[in-house]
Amino acid sequence: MSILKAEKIKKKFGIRRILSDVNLQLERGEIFVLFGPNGSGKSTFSLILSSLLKPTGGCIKFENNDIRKLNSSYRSKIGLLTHSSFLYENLSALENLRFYAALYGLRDIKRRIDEFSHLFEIETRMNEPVKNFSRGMKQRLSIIRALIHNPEIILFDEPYTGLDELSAQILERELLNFRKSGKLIFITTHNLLRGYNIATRLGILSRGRILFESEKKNITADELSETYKRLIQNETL
Amino acid sequence: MKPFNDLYTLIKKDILDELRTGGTLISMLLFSVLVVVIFSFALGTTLSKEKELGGGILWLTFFFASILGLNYSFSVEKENSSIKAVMLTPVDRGILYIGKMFSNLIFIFIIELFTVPVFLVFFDYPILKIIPPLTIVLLLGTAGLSSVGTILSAISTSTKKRDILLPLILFPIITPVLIGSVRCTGIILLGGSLLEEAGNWLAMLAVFDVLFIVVSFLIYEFVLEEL
Repeated sequence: MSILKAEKIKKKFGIRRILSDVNLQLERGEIFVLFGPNGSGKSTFSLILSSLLKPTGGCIKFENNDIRKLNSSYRSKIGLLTHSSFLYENLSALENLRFYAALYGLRDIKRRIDEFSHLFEIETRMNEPVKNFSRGMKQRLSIIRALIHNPEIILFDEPYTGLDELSAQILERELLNFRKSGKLIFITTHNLLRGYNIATRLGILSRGRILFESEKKNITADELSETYKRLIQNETL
Repeated sequence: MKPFNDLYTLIKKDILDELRTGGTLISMLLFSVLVVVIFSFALGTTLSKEKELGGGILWLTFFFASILGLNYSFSVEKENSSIKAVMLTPVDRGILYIGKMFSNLIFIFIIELFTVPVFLVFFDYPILKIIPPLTIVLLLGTAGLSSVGTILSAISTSTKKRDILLPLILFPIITPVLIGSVRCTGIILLGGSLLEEAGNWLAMLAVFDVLFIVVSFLIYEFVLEEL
């Protein structure tokens, strides 16, 4: 049974149509990577999956229940990473993480923060204000913030932005660990190679429609690249 | 216990943020003290007492000073869309409102704590006699100001002209609270008994506070959706 199901999702901003009848079923223990060019609707779809943005039409179901009826019980299962860091610039990294961990009602806050800060190698800068951080450091901290409460559903929108090679590898290793423990991981990216390497299933979104969906085992990286180019070119013609 | 823990966490975060920057509280304080000092020189102590101007001066000062703090209170939440991540936590949306309202209440009350003694000294009022009843009025008036101010600050923060919009929409709605606070303060400053002479105004203040807090608590979820 799918853990998360998007049914005929439509989204309009004013007269501009962003998503048109998007259907997608996501399973526990899979890493679904959604590719698409800028403006294809990937970020909008992630926000709708997270419940932060309401669709114009259609619904999202978590274990066959409409998420609009689940409210906080659904929200607390989400680990969301977007283009915005969600961090308070004037507070230190430690204060930011303590704040979010406390709101999630975590008991072992210190242990989890120590564990993640060590993993993403920011433990020496935990007492510095976030406003002093580089983009990559902010991205690492945002990833920790999204994972601190051990979410069941991980929604990462362009997670590689600003990350160096080592940090990207650490992130991928952690995501694989999360997958092993039965979490659903949904990633959007336009980085075909990175996305392909980590995915168990993948899809291509363009102009608000999912044009392609496949198990990773059924397609090679080169075939994905060719399919992507062909579909995006056809769409822009 | 969780709602209280959440409240503590939310208020602590706002106070920490203010301690790190300090700019808003200092601006509010400087503005308030300056206005009081300027009015004391412009009106003189005798005229202000005869015309019962004291209450008006004090509450308009607090109103405009609070605008500075209220404008900042949500701009910091919007800066990196932090409010969105807070909305994803299991914290009740109403608790988010109460937390922000209490933070604003604390900040405005700190300003009053410094401004009122300056006002009483410069306008030559008997401090010890006035402070106890005035504290009750300050608490009720400030609760009204921060309850409506918090919700309207959340609404105006999504607009481009939020700095101008907030006072424009706040002033008409907060008018009953301001009138009640000015009348109560005026009676206290003239040496009257708060309960005997201003009992009705005090009751009106309390009713408006409860009304504003309950309505804001209920609609906050919908306001947050639009942020």
